[in-house]
Amino acid sequence: MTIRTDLPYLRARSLRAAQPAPPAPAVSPSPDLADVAGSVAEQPSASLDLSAPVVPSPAQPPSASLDLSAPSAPAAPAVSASLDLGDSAPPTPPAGTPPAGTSLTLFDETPATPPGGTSLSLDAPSQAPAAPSRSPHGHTRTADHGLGLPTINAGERRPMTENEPVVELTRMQSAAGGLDAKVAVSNPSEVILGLVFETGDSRESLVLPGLSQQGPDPRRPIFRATTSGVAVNLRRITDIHRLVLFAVPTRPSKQLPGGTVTVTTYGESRLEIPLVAGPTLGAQALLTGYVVEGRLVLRAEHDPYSGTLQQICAAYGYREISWRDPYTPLV
Amino acid sequence: MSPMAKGANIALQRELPDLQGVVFGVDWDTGGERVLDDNLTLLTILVGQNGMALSPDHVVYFNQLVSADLSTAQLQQALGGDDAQVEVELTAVPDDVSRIVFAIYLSEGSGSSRNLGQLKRLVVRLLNLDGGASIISSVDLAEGLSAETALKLAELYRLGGQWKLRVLGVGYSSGLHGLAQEFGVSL
Repeated sequence: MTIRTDLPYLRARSLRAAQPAPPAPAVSPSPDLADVAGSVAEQPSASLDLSAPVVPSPAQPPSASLDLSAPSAPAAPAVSASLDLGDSAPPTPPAGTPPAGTSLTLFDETPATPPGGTSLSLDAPSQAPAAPSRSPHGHTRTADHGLGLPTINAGERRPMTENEPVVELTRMQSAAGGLDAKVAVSNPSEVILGLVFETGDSRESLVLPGLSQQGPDPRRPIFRATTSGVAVNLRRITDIHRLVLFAVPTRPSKQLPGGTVTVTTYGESRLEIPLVAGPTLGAQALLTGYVVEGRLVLRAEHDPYSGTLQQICAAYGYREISWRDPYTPLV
Repeated sequence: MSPMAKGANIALQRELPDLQGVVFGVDWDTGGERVLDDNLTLLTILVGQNGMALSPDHVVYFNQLVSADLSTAQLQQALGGDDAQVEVELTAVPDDVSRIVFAIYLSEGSGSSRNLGQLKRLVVRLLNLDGGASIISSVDLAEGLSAETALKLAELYRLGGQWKLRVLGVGYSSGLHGLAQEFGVSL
């Protein structure tokens, strides 16, 4: 396999959605209908597709922004990883336009729930949330969009399969203690875990054992390398925008060992992500996380493609990082 | 008025019949210990008759600043000399809330181990929400602390249709786990 520099990763991700389309649901899906649940072709009812679009528009570059604003005008769906929580009418796609990309729209429209399954659509309920009321002294709560994603109980363990790749942590789970990611393989020295992240003030950086032990601020780190993986200090959840957990093989052959990566919450909920043995181009994305209205939404990527670390970061929308070489960030 | 000792209580509306709301403030001195500063966390729990949090939406903290009923709200930035503050509109507290418990805990996500025994000083005080006048303050609750990682500071509770405040100073060595277990907060 040769290393390509033309972002083959992102383009390849779009091929998944180019498989035969599922039967059209009774209700037209949102243009940004996202399917976090896995293969659209195999699980048409488990909608919420984070995969790349079928027909990317060159005029609309991919973005991993988490847009909480309302769109100013209807437009063709952007190739975006945005998570739009806007309350206004959704953009209407041209007829025949396939569902676009990695957007997690929470528009107020009728949920597109194909028959025969549990929708994991992030579309907001058909009725808009009630306008925030106000207490006599002015206390208000922002509208709370029910994401309707699978949750996890304290002490529960949950394999994050291709069919059930997403877990939404509660506000308390997203804020209590830390999130610990550890690798469980027969020879732990064969793989290291790292995190690439974007903070609430739009800083992008990495934590990678041996290179950058903690970040973004070494004096008050949010993310840090541990003896067996990486950890996120959730006391700082309000400063986190998004993250990607990745694995880097340490063998010269860049072969990943088979095993499992566990992500554990303060309440001992354990998410299990398979680590698939095989050759890589240097790094393998495992898990993405977005903070949505105070809740951490985690998705096991089950990404069939590896890449250099630089390619992985770029493919998941982290483009503000400088590099010494395709494997070594400048941190 | 002299500072309230642990276990002492005061009938708020007997002293201030027109009291509509209060500000609960916590003032701590970490002695410049940054890990303590960064991880001390105020938690306010609206408790029902069964002694448990009314719902997950009735727990107020940095990631959920306002209770579901809007009666209780933590300030993002405390005013005056306090390090953390919570406003409680007493008249807006639902009838099924029998007490409101204020606690602090040390978040354990930083990877550094600390305890509340390292605090130099810990004082709570109550202000009138209308105007900010001081109502009462506590003695130094840091005295006697050692390996505790969470502490119930005080509680507002109803008695005979009136609101009272009791200073607690009851510690846990199990941190947030202990608090969550006592009040049925799911982690």
